[in-house]
Amino acid sequence: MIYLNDSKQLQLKRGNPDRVYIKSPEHLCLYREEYHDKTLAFFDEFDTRVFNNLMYVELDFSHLKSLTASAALVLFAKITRCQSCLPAGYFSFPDKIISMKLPDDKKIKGMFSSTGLWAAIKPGGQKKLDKLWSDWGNSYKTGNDPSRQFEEVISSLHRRVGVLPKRIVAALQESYLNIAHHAYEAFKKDPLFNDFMVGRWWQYAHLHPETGRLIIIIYDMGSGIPNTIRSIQGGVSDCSSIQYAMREGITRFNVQGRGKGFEDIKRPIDSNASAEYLLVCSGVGEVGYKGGQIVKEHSHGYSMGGTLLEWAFSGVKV
Amino acid sequence: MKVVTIDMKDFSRAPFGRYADDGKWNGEAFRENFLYEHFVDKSVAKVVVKLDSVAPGYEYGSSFLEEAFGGLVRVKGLKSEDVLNKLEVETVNMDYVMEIKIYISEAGN
Repeated sequence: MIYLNDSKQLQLKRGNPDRVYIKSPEHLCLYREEYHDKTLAFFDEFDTRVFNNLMYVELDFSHLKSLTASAALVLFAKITRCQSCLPAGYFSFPDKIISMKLPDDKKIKGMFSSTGLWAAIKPGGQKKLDKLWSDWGNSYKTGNDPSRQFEEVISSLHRRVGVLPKRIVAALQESYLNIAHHAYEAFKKDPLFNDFMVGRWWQYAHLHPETGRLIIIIYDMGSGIPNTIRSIQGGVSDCSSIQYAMREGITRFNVQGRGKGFEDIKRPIDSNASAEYLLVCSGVGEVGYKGGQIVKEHSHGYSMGGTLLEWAFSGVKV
Repeated sequence: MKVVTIDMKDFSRAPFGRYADDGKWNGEAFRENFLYEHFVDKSVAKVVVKLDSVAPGYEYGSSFLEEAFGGLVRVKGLKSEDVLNKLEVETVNMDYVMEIKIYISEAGN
């Protein structure tokens, strides 16, 4: 058995020779700079072991002390991609490609089950993911056919949250369209690109019952806004590419009437007194938006491997 | 002169996207199959579009609205002022009324 610790050194362990053990950082978090890169490096570590080295892995969360919303969503995305996109014929038990040791900390362990994360990441394949749609209490959803699933998205959000902040449903609609039109365009001609990933998005929505804080996050594993926008803007920093994409009328398609999608994505923040922020993370860039302006801009050392949009609201009526 | 009323629920309870690639209930399909014929029919004086009969919690995205309404001018070549004069949007959400007017006006520029 091979063990990967935080320093990424390989150690041989006794036992099953086919399964690589990878220990998670103590904090899985994409909000705080000190945790951001380690969190993404952990995700890349098991992704690489599965897809490049074609190995079964065991993720050891036993020392996990904190897990934030966006990190949990990306974890869900990375694990389910491993479970669903394996090359045919290499693995006898593809849906068991990743096993997990749950956190020792009872509070964190409880969070795995109470938010639905465990149901979303546990060993399983498409059936497991389909079940998430009927479990409206689960914060995690994934799909790739928005026109068919959009009514279910609205319905599950409606049941979970009640009255949604204004314009968030329209923002989700345009986000799905952006993913369908742009995110995976660069991969579509790749014969190894798995059907599971065509237009694939992962979503998290959680309303804290006591504080009324609502977080809605969408993540895709596409080529990212900077790579998409670079063809029309030229090579600059990822943060400036994101900000450029957020301006009205910016579109890769040179057609009048297009390029309004990001206006819809920003609008929930402009239209609700309860709005805290919109966060756009893509490539290594992170841009925060609030009150009609960019309020945060930061370049990380590690790429997001796609695009993450997060809307936060406080004091939402429960 | 006739008044034609179009209720969105007769098209879809969750309209989505711009083109057929985005799904069956897209803005182009709504424009082509529900709107356009009435805007070129000289016996029709008013086209009333009821937006609110969609699924609970549903909200319209700009892609659908722009393609459906802006597309009457941008794609079908109708004059903005003719479309604006003939169209009446019924909704409790006045943002949509403004938005649709903007799309139609911008499409004529």
